[in-house]
Amino acid sequence: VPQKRRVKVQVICGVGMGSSLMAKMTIDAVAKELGVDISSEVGQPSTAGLGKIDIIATTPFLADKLGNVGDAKIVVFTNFVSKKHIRERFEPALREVLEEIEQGM
Amino acid sequence: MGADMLRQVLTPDVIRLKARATDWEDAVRQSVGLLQNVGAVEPRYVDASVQMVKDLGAYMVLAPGLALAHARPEAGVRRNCLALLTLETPVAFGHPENDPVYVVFALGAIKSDEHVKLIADLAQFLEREETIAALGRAETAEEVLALLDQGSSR
Repeated sequence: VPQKRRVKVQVICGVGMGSSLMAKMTIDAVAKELGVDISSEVGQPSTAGLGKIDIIATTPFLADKLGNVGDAKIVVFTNFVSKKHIRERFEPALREVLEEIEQGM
Repeated sequence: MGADMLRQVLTPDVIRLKARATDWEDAVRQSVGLLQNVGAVEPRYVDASVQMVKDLGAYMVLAPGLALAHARPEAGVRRNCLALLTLETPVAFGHPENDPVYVVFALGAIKSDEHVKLIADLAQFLEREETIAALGRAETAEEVLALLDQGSSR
C-alpha cells in the first residue's frame, strides 16, 4: 500500500550530535526494514515538536523537558545502541501513525 | 572497511583501560581529559561535559554499562575526536536501568560529514551485544583495536 505521506520523526538528546544521531541512524535502518517511508532529524529539547512531527524519540531524562509537542507521540529509549530495543519501542508508534495517516487524520 | 573513521580517531594515546574512578564525575573528567591531553578539546570542555550531566541527568548513559561523555561543539571542541576510558570498578551515573557504568567514551564533535561517519561507525560497533563487555575486559589498547577490526569485517 503506498503511503499517503511521509512519517516525520525527531530524535531529541541534549546536544543533538551524539546519542540522538546514533539512535536516528538505527531508526532509519528499522524503517527501511519495515518498508516505511520516514524523514528523521535530530534535535535538542528546545526544538522538540517544531515542524509537525509525528514521533519524538528521546531518553527518560528529557521526556518531561520537551514542553508542548503538539500531537507528536513520544517514544522513550533507555538503550540507544541496541537495534532490538529501539525497534521494539519505535515500531508500535510507527504503526499507529501509519494507521492515522491511512484514515486521513 | 566499515570502521575507518573510528579506527582513525581512536588511537592508543586516547585509550585508557581499567582506570580507577571515584564516581561518575571523576570518570567523565578522566575520559574527556584524554581528549584534552592530545589537544583535541580545550580544558573548558571537560567542565562542560560534567555540567551536561548535572543539568540534564544521566541521559548520556546509552546502554547497560556504557556512557558517552560529551558537551556542545562550542564548549571547546577543536576537532572531531573520541576517547575510551574503561573502569576497574564501575560507577553509578544515576540511570534507572543502565548503572553501573564501566565503559566511558568521550566525544568531541564538530558538525560535519566526518562527525556523522564517526557516529555511524561507533553505532555499528556498539550495536554488537558483546562489544561493551569485551571492552570492559580488554587489558591493552591492541585488544581494543582488534575489536574494532572485528566489528568492521563482519
